[in-house]
Amino acid sequence: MSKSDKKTLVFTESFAKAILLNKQYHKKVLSNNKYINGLLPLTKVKNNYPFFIYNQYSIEPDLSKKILPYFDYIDLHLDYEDEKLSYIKKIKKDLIHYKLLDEFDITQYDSVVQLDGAYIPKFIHTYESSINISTIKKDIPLYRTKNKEEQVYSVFEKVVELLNQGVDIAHIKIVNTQTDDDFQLKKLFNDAQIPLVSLKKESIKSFPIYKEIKKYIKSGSLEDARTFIDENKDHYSQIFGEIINVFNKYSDALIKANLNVFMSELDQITVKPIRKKNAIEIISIDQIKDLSHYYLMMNYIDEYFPKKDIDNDYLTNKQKELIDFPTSEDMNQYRLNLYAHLFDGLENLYLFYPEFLIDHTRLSYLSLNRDYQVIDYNYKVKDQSYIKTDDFLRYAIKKNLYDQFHEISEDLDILRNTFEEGFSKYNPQFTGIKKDDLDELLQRKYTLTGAKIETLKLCPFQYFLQYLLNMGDYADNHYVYFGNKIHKALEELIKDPNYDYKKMILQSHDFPMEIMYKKSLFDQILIENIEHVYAIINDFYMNSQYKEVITEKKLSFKIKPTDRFLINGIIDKVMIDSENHYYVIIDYKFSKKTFSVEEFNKELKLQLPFYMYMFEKHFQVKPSGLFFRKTGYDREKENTGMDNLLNGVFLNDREQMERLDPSGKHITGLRYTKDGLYKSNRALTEEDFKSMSKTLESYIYKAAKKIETGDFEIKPIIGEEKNNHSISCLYCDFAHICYSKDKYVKAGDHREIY
Amino acid sequence: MKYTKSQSDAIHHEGENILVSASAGSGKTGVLKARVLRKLKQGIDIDQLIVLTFTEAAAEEMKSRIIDELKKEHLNEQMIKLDNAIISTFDAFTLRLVKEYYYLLDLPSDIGISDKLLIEMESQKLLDDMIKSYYESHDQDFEDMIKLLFSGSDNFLKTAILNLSKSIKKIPNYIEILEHYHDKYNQSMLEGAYKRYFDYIKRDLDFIRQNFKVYYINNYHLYNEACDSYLDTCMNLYDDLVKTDDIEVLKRKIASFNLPTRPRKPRGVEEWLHTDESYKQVKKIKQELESAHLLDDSDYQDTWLETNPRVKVILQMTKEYLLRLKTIQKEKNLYSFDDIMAFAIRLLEEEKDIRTFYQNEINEILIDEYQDTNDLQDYFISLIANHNIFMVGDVKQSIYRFRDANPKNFMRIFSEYSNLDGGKAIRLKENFRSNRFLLDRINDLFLNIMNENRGGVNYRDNHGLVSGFPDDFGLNQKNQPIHTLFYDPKVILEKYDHLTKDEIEVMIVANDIKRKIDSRQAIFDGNDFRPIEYKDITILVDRKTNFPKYKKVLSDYGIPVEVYSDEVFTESEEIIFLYQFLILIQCMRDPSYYKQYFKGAIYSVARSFVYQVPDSLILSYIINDDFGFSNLDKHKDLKRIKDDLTYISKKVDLFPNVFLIDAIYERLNIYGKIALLDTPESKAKKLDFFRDLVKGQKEKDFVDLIQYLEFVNQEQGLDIDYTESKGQVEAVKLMSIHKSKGLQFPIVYMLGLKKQFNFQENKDLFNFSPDYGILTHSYQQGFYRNFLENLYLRSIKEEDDSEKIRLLYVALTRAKEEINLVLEATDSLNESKITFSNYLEMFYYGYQLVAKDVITDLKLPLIEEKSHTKTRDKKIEHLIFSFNEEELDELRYSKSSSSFYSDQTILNLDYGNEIHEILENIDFAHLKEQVNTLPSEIKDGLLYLSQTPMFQSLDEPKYYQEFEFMDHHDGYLSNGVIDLLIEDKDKIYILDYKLKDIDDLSYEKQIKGYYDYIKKISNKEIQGYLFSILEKKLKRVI
Repeated sequence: MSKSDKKTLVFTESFAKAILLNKQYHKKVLSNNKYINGLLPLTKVKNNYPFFIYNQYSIEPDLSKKILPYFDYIDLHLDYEDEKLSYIKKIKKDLIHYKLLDEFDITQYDSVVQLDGAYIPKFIHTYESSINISTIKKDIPLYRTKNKEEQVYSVFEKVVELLNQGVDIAHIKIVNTQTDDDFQLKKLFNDAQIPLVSLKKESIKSFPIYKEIKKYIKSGSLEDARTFIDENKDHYSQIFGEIINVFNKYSDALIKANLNVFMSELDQITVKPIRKKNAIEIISIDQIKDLSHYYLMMNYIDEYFPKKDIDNDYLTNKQKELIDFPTSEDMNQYRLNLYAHLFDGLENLYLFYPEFLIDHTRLSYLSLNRDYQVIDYNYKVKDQSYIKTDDFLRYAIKKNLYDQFHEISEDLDILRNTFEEGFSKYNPQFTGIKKDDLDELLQRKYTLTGAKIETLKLCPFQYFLQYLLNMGDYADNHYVYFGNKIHKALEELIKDPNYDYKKMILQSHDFPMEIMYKKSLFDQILIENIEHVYAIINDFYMNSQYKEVITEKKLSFKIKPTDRFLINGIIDKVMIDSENHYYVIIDYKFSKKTFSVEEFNKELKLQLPFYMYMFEKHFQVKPSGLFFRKTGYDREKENTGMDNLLNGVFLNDREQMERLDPSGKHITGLRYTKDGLYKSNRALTEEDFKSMSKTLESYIYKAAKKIETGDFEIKPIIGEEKNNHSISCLYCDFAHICYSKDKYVKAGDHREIY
Repeated sequence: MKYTKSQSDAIHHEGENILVSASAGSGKTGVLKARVLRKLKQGIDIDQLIVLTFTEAAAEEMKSRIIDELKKEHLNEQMIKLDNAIISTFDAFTLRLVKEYYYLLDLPSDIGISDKLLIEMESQKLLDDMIKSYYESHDQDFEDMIKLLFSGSDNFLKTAILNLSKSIKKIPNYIEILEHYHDKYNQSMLEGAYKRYFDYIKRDLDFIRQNFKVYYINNYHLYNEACDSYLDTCMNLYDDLVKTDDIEVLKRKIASFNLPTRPRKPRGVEEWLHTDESYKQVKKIKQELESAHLLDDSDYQDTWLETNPRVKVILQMTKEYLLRLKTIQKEKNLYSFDDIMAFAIRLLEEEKDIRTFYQNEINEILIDEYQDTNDLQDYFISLIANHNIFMVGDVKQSIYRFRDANPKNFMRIFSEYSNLDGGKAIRLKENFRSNRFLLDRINDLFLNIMNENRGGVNYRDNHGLVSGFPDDFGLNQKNQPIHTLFYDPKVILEKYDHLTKDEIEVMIVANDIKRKIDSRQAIFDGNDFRPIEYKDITILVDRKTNFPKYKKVLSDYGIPVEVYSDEVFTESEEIIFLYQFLILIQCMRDPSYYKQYFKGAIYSVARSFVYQVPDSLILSYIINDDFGFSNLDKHKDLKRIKDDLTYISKKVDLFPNVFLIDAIYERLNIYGKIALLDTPESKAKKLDFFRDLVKGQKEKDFVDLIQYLEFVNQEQGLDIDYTESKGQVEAVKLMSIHKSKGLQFPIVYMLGLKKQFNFQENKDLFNFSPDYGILTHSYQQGFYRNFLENLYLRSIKEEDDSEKIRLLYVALTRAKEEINLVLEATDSLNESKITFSNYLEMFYYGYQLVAKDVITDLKLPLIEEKSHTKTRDKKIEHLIFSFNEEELDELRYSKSSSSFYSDQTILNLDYGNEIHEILENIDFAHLKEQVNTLPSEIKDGLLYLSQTPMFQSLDEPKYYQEFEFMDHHDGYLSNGVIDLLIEDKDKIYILDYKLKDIDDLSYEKQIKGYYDYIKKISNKEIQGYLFSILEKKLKRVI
């Protein structure tokens, strides 16, 4: 006679099932068990469930998944007063009607068993309990560490100890890690060359390739998505296998009609990492399968273990109670019991407990039938160590603590003895350039200007990068456009007051391409700007006795024939009093710029004196003013009437200045008094001008010497902070090369010059 | 613990809203905890309480204390409920709420808080797009506005839109305000504002008059008659100034206000009537009115109307920006805590059920640090409250304006409850932190400088600190708890002209600290006295600008110092290096990138601490080679870089970015390399953090990562949000006052007191005020600040000034024993001011200081060489493991698909699944009885099966359906399920159902896998079959 073996429905957690199957393997028995996790839905729905729910009730796929577990508990014969419950009932009814849901039929089983206290839905009333994990009679070692960092070390050392005892590496598992633990563990294990693999799954969303696939699907082209996957699937079969599986669940028509539901299905995919032989594995508690393996359970503290549910599901605890669905409190209590039972049976279990919370950290509340054997753990550097990189870094840290705070730790000596010889701090200082290379650079282009010498002073390395290696980024922008156009207009207007600068601007072709859409408006603004500034400039000129005007004067020469460098400059404007042989230099700047002797003496702001120096080499006239003039028209400052004045230094000679600016309205700081000029550090004597010229020459030769000897040290001027940055570094684009932004750098020990 | 009467009241009072106004150090958080515990003991469930704290740390601590108490009291049920309880920050609570009801808000279920830089990136992109479209539209108002406000770039526009958005989002239902802007901001608003503005002016004039009165009294009858008569005339003029209520009259009076000439000092007289400040102050007011065009003939309404076209454009753009940003945020799932709060409010406003649930089910809402709540939080609470709020806080410690805290909420409630309107107000005065002499001195100061207009509360109104300790408590040893270190910068600078004032001040501090340490000054540690240590000392400053300088000077003096400030994340060596290394990878992939960045990036990477290639070698390569990746091979040192880049770049595109970062860290041994830099510990933490950051950025590819870093590097003032956790070291602490809130220190130093307060709002072109709308300068032959702007600025300046005073209150109340102030010696600051412009003025005025024992010289640091003697010679012996690591070929029984199925196959599979389910429930022992109920195809298939020789030969079969097993394979476990297993007397049959196509070789492999397992557990003969149900075919494969 033929017969079926007794069919049994076994409610179990996966570890208990694994343990049972394992036992059956060893005992060589066959059984007719159907294993099920009572926390998962018993009813089965068809693949297209989320599509149906979305179309029928506009419920997003996320939520449709959340509703699924409730169906088992909803009784179609009952009337629910609660709105949500009756809504779920309606859905369930519809699902059955459309044959999308098969109600679970318990009658097909001869018996029901609860294995190792696994969860059984409350609507299943009769069942028997079975236990296959028995309590081990030995204490569980509990390593108490002072923080999370030390916890990682204690786990690492335990692993090393086990390996040295000959435990099979494949039998060592690390459980219940946080993401940061994984990374810290990985660092140590890498250092010691112990293979370590995390079996945590990664969301498909982290993989850039998925983004590509989504793009295809979003655009509605499933074929392109498939082709793309087919072309790439050999590279990383883990991802693509999972994606193909999801594709293979639904027909094209269904997918196309519900792209968002389908994408949401894809979003749920998690990618399993590749397992390795001979590797320690990081697993979750639910991946425990063998009672005899070695489990190192981290973060054995209340906050992290067991995981806790809170009352924030679709149904509240109160609603859950109405249908006998487990509440968050039930769940939390359940997990406490479940894991306590498991831990009672694990032979080689090591618990790790970091103290790191503000007040004090608490152990997990599992009521075990075993005691703890508490071991207070403190990490100390070992005489025999597997973690060289880590020891090295530790040495550097301890050395730093000692240097900074005079803190001496126990480990410092042995670390110092080990690493002292090979340890030298990295110094980012420039270490030199070969003579040939420097010559090559100087041959290509070697000119000096005020701006270049200023930069050299701000930081020699910055000068080197910017002017010898040409590293700066000279993007076209509208400021350059504005500057050029204003210069051009003012230059031409001096020659011909009827010059049609509007035409020049409107017909120009050098407006930055990427903002071409601004040209028409900006041109209007520019024209207005020129009108405004020209009126001021013209008024100044008309009233001045400095009638001879030179504009855009290009000068370029060697000071001495033996010089390697040329000095270069284009002077925007020189106005000359031909009668008295005085001149002034005016440089246009779109934004406001100031000039003072103090700044010059600091070797900054050299441009105007540089022009003066160059000009005097060619023309036999005396300086009576060096000025910047702002050419930008700032309406916000319009009513002050001060914005576009000449700004700089001038001759302390009332008579001469009255020839330049009789009204005294055009020059900042110029005020006439009965006796001459109002006292100001802007007013200079002829001697002052001469001395400035002399000093400038010395600046030029000092700079040249520095450049020609390849002395491009990183030496920013620190101490005059502006916006928290030293003035040298504020506008410097090379912080990524010097690694020393706003910092003093030690002088180089072995600078290579020539 | 013994409680004071008011503490006890705050713990036990019930039945109405309660606001506890608790001074610094009065144990307010302790009271809140005690109240919670009292309720639990009385049977209230922990999840019936909502406890909201300002920081996560505070929430954790609160929770922890409660657990302790529950355990002690054996309240086990509460322990379980605790998991569900809301003891958290506002942010965490609102996030929880939104996550719970995401579906009602049309949000994704995985909604969370995003990196704010990602939102910022989107916002910038959006602004650029929007502004571009405005340019392209040639909208007349827009063009007029640009013409008028042009200052070189569009930044003013962006700033305006962002500022406005930020301010307006602080109001619940801001969209409505934007939609109906003109309903609120109209003529009648303007009229009210005009009156309010002159109220301010009158208040100032009154203050000036009072100051003059003090001057008058101090000088009357001191000199001669002429002086007295001068004083009389002046006094009359000041009195007259404030007499009128008519604005127009007042304006005329201010316009014509003039004092007579001060009597000349007679010869030979030394002391004489000095100038008073009052006149200047009136002139200042006159100037303000003049420049606002209020004293000329223009109509104040016109000045406002003139701004309207610009306001219109900005309003339109802001509206558009906010709406479009919302869409983008939704699309990309990018939300900030502010957004979450807005969602939570919307949820409670729209879902009555949820609101009622909280109103009915919650016993009490307890909120700590209520003075720091903002308007949205205040409103949020009002939605769930039901006369059951318990608030604790101290308005004098409200210092988070920059985070939108609005202490006025606290003040309003306090004043209402004090009048028994809507709740009960309780005051905690006793201080359990500081020396009582110190408390007296702190009171002296704030009695003089803190009042309702300046500081927010009238200090005289019962706000003074009272020691909670008995008189004989050990703290009372110091009756001079405030030390003033006066110095004369002029004299010192004459001697040391290379120093700055900041350096002088910190040198004074350094010398004083050294003196204290050397003299082993006694410190009371709660029980006993002990010599002072560095860690007892904290230097408090109101801004962090000078921290590096301070640290350097203190270190020069050999003083260990721990700075509570972070350097810019992206500016430290290791992060710069990583960024440049990633750029190099991108250069390998993208020619335009290569062109733009290669030279700089290769120089940077090569000379970095990681590769340390000498400059000369890199330069030879850059200068002489036709440089490029291929030529890197020519140089041994540079080739390493190329090899590394090549190795790592293979991971780009396929793997998540974090894999790439891991590969870089590992391959370049980056943690070993940072050992060569300063502060290696901080660097290691930063590297860890950076990795986490990259890991946390979901759905980002390599180009996204590069763009992200590019964005952070380019945008001024933006940085990756990172705070380093600090360990305990034996060092002087250097921190900002903000950072010190909630902490306490035995000895406090304050310096940098002369630094002018910044007043940011002043500089913006557009501002938004909930009262007055969008504000901007008026234009009439130049821009001027109109009265509405002045009014707004006055009101926020008042708040700003108040906060500065409160900040000082926080700073001083941190000290337990002693406060040391570094003060510039001067004799002109003792007069009262309408507003203080720095702390120096507050101290001088508040204490009426007279400089004495002025420091005129400094002891410079002696640089000592530190030496450390070795005690052991031992070295570490380094060992390594060696494992043969290879991929594990996991045994799988089912055929996983590696190709796409056609629609037909998918249909078949669905059908196959159904059949499988049916077959799973077939009772083979009674097959005949059952088949008739089955669909015909299955019925036929099964009948065929039952007729096969294999089935016919069965003798005493046992059937196992869906037989699940676990096999051991190379030490690893694998799971399998056999469709049908039949155990007969001496044979075992394995059967796998297929729809059709049973000739696939992979199926045979599958059966072989099953066979291998059964073989291990049974000695019987085993046969393996595939059964095609539709084709009615049974095929033996084993």
